[in-house]
Amino acid sequence: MAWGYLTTGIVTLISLLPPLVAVSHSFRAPESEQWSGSSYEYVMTTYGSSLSFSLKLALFVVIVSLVIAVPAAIAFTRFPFRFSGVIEELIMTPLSLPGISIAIAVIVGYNSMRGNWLLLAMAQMLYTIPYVVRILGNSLRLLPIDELEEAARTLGAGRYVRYRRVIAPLMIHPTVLAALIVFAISWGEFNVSFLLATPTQLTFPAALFATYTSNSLSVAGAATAIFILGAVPFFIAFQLLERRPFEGGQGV
Amino acid sequence: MDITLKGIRKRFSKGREAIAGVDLRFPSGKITAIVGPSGSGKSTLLNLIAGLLRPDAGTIFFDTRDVTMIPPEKRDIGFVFQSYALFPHLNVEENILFALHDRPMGRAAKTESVSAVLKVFEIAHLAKRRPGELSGGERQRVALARALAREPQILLLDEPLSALDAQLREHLRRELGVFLHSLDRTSLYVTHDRDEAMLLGDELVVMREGLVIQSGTPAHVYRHPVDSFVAKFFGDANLVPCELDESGQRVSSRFGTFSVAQPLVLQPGQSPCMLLRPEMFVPAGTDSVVRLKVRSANFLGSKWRVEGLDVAGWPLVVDLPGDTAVAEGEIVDLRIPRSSIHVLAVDASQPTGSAGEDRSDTHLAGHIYGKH
Repeated sequence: MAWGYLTTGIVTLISLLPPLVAVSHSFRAPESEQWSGSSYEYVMTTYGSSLSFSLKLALFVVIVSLVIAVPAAIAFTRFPFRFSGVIEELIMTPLSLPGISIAIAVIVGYNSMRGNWLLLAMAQMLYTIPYVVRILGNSLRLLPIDELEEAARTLGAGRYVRYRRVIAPLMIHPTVLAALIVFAISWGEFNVSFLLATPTQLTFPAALFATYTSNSLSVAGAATAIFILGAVPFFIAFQLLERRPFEGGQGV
Repeated sequence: MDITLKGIRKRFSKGREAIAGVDLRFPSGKITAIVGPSGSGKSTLLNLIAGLLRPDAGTIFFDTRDVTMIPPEKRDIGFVFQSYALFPHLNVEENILFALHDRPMGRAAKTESVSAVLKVFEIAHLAKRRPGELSGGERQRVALARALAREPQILLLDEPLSALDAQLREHLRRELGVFLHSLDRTSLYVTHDRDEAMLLGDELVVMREGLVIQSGTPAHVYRHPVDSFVAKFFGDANLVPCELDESGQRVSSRFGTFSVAQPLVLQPGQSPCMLLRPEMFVPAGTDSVVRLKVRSANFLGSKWRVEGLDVAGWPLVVDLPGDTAVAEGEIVDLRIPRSSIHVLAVDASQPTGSAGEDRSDTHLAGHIYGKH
């Protein structure tokens, strides 16, 4: 057991050390060795709008991705048609492309929309929609939904009751998981955001880059700390949901 | 409630017919075990009766009501699935409550009804647990409780014990038998296990390749199988070639002359075979008709299972009382104290021999003899 604790400890340290070092600088006043929270104040004043923009953008991307991808995942898994498997794989293509390729393709393809925040959302959704389709699709394939629906039918349930009381509740969990992942992708996305950024549409990761290139290390550290704080609720929710799909497992 | 099937046929998109023309009547209040090897169409038949599948042809009646086109939710049936199909997001109590969702009762009455069901099935202590937290036996009990909570007229069970380990299956089989017989409801029980079918079924329906091969009481099917497939499916069987006299009433073989238990009409290309179950042989003295050279003897407690060859080199399997002295290499004298014997027709091209030859499905219990 000791070697287990040791190796996981080392891995955790390697993962957390860089952000911890950055964050440790955040409590120093710029250009001095004094402890101070002034860097946080500076970040919030200067980049507060980016924080707000990133949050709004992520929420928008989550909603639209789910609206588009959930029906698609249901169609691919429950009502497969000829070549649906091929199409499902094709829409995964953006996941294998570097972000810069996506960004340039979007800029070239939709140049007239440049400066419109919708273009940024669209570019992010090129990643997020395939993720949702894949996550939901896999979950739906793992659940014996057809048999559960048949069981509901033998128990007197018509179509509406089956969807409301059997299928929809079973889809809530994977949908929430997918939403959290979409939020995380959008919140942390840099390549596309950076290339499509304008002064009024600067996402927080792009702002973070700016702090590292043009500000002191303490300001960059503070921005990093704020960025991590923004992701913490996601990690907690994800852990809680991933551990307990249905208390005690699928159980069918 | 009677269930009557008339000319039922069902073919899936490709391949042969899963149900190739079935006419049957399942008597009211009886438990009928539908039994057959994998792919014989028994589960398909159950799904057709439940309404989960629609037949390509034929009619299904519940008593005099034609239910062929009626969806399962309106057929008043209870169905226990092989995997139990318990709703994983609902606890045991909620699973059972779901069965009452369309009943014209108040919430309090429904809760009371669920409590009563939980008590009957002795699962009240599991009420708040989700299916994922239950053992196989507990899930089986919950599935049965849920199916019966609606008090359906017809109960359909699709291999409800097959997902369990052998020991638990043995235990629950007896328990389920007692329970089903106490229900006094028309129950159809699909299984590929002959012991389960014989233990639970008041009646048996034997299926193969989408057709009903034979139906009747377990004793009748065991004693008077229609062909070698059914004979071997329901137990070890020595099929011994014989000659039928002109009257069709008597047969003679190397083991003597016997009257025929049921008249037999041979079709062209068929020949008669006597069915000698292992337990039909008894140790003999001077009246011996079989001299068996023992090739293997296995002590099974109450009996010996003996394999050997008779003087003509014909392989036989016989059961002898547990207190008999028997050993490999010995000669055992046997007789067949029966005046009448079941004779069945086999295709002349089909090899006969002793129990269990030519079984394609390893689920079919029994030994493979004559292949040493």
